[in-house]
Amino acid sequence: MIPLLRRGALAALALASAFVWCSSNAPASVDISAGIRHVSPDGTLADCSAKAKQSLDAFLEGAAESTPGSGDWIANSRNGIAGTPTATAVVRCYPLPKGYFATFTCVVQLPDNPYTATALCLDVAHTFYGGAITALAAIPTPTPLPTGCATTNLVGTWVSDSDSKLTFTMTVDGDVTDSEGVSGNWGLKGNTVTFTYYGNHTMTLSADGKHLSGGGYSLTRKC
Amino acid sequence: MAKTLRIRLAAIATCLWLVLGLTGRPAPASLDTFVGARSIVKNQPLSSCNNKARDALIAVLGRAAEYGDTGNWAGYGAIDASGNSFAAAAVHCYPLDEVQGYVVTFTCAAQSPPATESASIICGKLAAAFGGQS
Repeated sequence: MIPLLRRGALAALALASAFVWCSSNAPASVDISAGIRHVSPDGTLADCSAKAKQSLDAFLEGAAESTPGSGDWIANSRNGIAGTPTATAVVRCYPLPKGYFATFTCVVQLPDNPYTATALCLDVAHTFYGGAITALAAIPTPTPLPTGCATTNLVGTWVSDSDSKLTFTMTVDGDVTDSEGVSGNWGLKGNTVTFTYYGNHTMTLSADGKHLSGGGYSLTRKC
Repeated sequence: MAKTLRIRLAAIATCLWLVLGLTGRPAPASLDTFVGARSIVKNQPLSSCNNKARDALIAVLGRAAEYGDTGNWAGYGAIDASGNSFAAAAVHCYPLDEVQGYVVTFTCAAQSPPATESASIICGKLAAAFGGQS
């Protein structure tokens, strides 16, 4: 009996390890472009600032002066798959005795961002002083966290069919906690559920995603 | 006895790996960009700005390159085993005839994690390295 329990514990650890390993994120990298500069023989710092804001807002969001009156403008993309911006552009204006000059610096986070820093800077600069515009791919939508009412996963609260006082709360991290505070783990592959709770149990998720059964347990989703 | 010991060792090793995996799981990376200092330097040639820009980028990030012969410089931080870099900066030099000098700007970026320094810290170090040169 004891060796069986040990094997069960080892199997549970191996399963959890595989879950951890499979959920690790790939590292991203920074990509910068800083090679574009525009010199205007006429116009004022205010003109440059107006163009900077307009050209940044054409591709990004919330263009704002880093310090009021500085002529330094910055804007970010909307949030990417990780829930944070993956692209930023900076236009810095400086007045000259006749006209002004502006520098363009763009930074993106690859591979989360769908276009390069160079592509972004070219479009921002061309909008500023004129030139061909190449359409930029849309920023991927942030992945929403699963909710308890999504029948494609187990996240949420489940009630035992044999004891309505016994409930299980399953989290997005694969954790399970019952109504008495006893914890375990869950994993879902297809419609097969590995339920680690006082040992390992193999269960089946019903087609409608509302029932779990097998391994001595029968649970119903509570949304 | 030997079998029991093997089982225990395997269990300990698996637990240790699991803990390392959980604690080492990377948090979502965030892009941090900072609009750094702008300085006017009088009575210095543009070549001085270019030399200082190159040296400051190398000192702080390790690498520097000029876009042609423009006075626009960029540098990247250390590269990991996968060829990724998590810090970058730009230095722009532009001549100002009215002061017989130039204007220089610093713009920096970092991806945290894994970058250990924020974009503002990188820009502060760049400006200090630039200004600290004779």
